[in-house]
Amino acid sequence: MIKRVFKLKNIFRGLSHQIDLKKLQIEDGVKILVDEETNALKLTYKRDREEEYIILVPGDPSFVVMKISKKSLGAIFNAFRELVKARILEEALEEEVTCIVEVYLLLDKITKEQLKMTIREIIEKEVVKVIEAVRDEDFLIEFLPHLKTIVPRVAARKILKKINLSEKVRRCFSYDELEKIFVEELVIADAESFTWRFIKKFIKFMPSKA
Amino acid sequence: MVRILVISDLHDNSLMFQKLLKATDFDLLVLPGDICEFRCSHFVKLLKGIRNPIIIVPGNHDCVPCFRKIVDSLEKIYLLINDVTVLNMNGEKIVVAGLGGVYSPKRSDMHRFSVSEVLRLANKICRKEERVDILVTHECAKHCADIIPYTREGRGGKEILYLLHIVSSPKIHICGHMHVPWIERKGDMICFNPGMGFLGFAGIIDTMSLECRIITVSPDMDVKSEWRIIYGYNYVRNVKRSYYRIFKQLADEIDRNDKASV
Repeated sequence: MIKRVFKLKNIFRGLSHQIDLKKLQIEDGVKILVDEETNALKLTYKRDREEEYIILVPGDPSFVVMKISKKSLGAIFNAFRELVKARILEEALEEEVTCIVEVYLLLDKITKEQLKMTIREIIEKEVVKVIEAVRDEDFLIEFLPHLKTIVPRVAARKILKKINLSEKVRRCFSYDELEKIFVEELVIADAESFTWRFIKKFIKFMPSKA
Repeated sequence: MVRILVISDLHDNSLMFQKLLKATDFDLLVLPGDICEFRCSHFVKLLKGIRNPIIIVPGNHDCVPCFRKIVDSLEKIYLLINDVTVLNMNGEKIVVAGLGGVYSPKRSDMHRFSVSEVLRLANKICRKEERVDILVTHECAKHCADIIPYTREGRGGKEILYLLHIVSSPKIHICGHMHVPWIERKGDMICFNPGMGFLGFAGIIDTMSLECRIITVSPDMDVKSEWRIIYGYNYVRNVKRSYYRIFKQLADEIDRNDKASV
């Protein structure tokens, strides 16, 4: 399940005219609503009493609010495509939102275990060498705590490099943008404390607090 | 039922703050910004004397480091610069989200928030399972109790805050900054601006019935001269800042020249 707010590169200016829903081929359970106050466009899908949605918030910049899982993705995006066909929404906007969802679904798949494994690999292959090479204890005491923030970020980058992203996503986001998303989403406090615990195993002396 | 006292835009008027605190009973005090900038020590003493929980959302004229110090020394004060907090009061759970400062598309510092801050708070709210009961911001959202003073209902709110409305769907949005007391309904939400605390305006909210009221106390003081003092402080501060900027530019230029000559 993705529950996120994302800033859009494309600008959504709201709807200039009313939508004739009868003309659109929309699956049962999908609703298209326009908020009177904010002019936001909401595509919702109700399943098992739970509502999932994509909301496009107009303005400069525009935003997309998502609460969506794989199960409702198809129905909501079909409605999205119908709106593009009816020239109510721009194609570029639909493509961007599709890409965002694709990236976040990929991120959802990356488990904590995968992140921890990558962290473990980096520490064993790279960090241990550094620790062994440095002989100044005072330097290590000051230097090592910084690694707990650095290593998870490096791990996030390594995971990004391994993942096969579609051509569409690569067109939509630059590598730097993707890297930023991965680092922000994957580097969690858990990963940092895990890194610190793991680094401590390789050294005989250690400051009590990181 | 929780009675919330809202006092905004006090602009260093600690005498009025004392009066407003005595004017009514309350369970929770909400301060949506522009409380103190030059005379914070008076406010620290007063805040320490309040037994009920306090929520502070800084404005564009607040000494945020002072607030941070107060928060460190007291438990019941919640400083919401860009955060969500849950309060349990009188058997009622109240989820409060707060965003301090005024909107600036270019800058983000202790007095201003940019798009990324709004996005950060929106994501924090998204991650919380509970619905937000009260959204507190210093800046007003567009058409949400955002009357510009001395105009015929001219509006000065910001559209970007609609994102927080959509994500959090709060029951009440408390804001300040505009100095005009105003209550209006926007769909299911009540937009509430208690007005200028400096002049004796404040607001009372009942969380059960969602009844909002503006209260006033008489100033009993020379408000004009008091305002002139604050205005004077502001003037001096702005002059200092512009001098600082000029000197910094000069220093940077000298630095650059030195490096070039080396």
